Amino acid sequence: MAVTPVASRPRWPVGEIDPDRCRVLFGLPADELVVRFPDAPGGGISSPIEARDEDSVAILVDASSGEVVGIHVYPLLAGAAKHRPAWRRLAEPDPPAELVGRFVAEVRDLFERYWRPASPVAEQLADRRRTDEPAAGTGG
Amino acid sequence: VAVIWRATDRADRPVALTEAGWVHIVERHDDLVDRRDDVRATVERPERVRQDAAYARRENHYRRFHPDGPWLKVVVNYRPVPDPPGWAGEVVTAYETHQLASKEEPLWP
Repeated sequence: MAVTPVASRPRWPVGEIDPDRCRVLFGLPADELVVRFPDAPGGGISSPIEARDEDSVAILVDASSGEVVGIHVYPLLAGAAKHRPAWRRLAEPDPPAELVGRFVAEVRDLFERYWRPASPVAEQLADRRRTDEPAAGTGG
Repeated sequence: VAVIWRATDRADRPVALTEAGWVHIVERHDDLVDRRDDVRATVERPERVRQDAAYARRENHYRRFHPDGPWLKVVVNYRPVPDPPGWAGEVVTAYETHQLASKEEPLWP
């Protein structure tokens, strides 16, 4: 199915997001966090929020409605939590609703301040630097 | 460990998708539930491979399945293996994204 890239601003859900009803899904070894908003549909395309010196925080956008259905962080412990140590607790089982609520509010603030539409693909492919060296001795 | 498929990446290294890896993916990105073959195709025939920004042994494979569509990003973690000596990879996650991650260094092509 063809999916149009996000060119217009995704819509943050209207009204308060109840942190008690959010689904918090952290997984190792991937070091990946997904927070699903209550009553939101599944799926969603990850749309990075390029905030200051990091790009590991993203919103999940429903392709058909343009609505933000959740939050995606990859990586959490080795990435976003280095800048925001409080987020490390989101990797623990059943993080408290208060923490989830603060996390959602912080990401909403980042979204409103820093989110931009994805660059055109040609621009994305114009890589800044290239290297022929394998990564970290992995033989690639 | 139950293996769903084994593939070969662009550098001739074996890469596996395990049952545990697949469960991790579809629990977080349930729109990929019917796209196991696309995950494999992305490892075997990527458009771009980039060095993960945080994990030295991870390489992120990107492929689009429609010119106007999002990237499918497949994160592969590599580890050294003794027999035969070399490296083997395992898919740790996969998801669709609108943007190549800006902090990643290009590895291929």
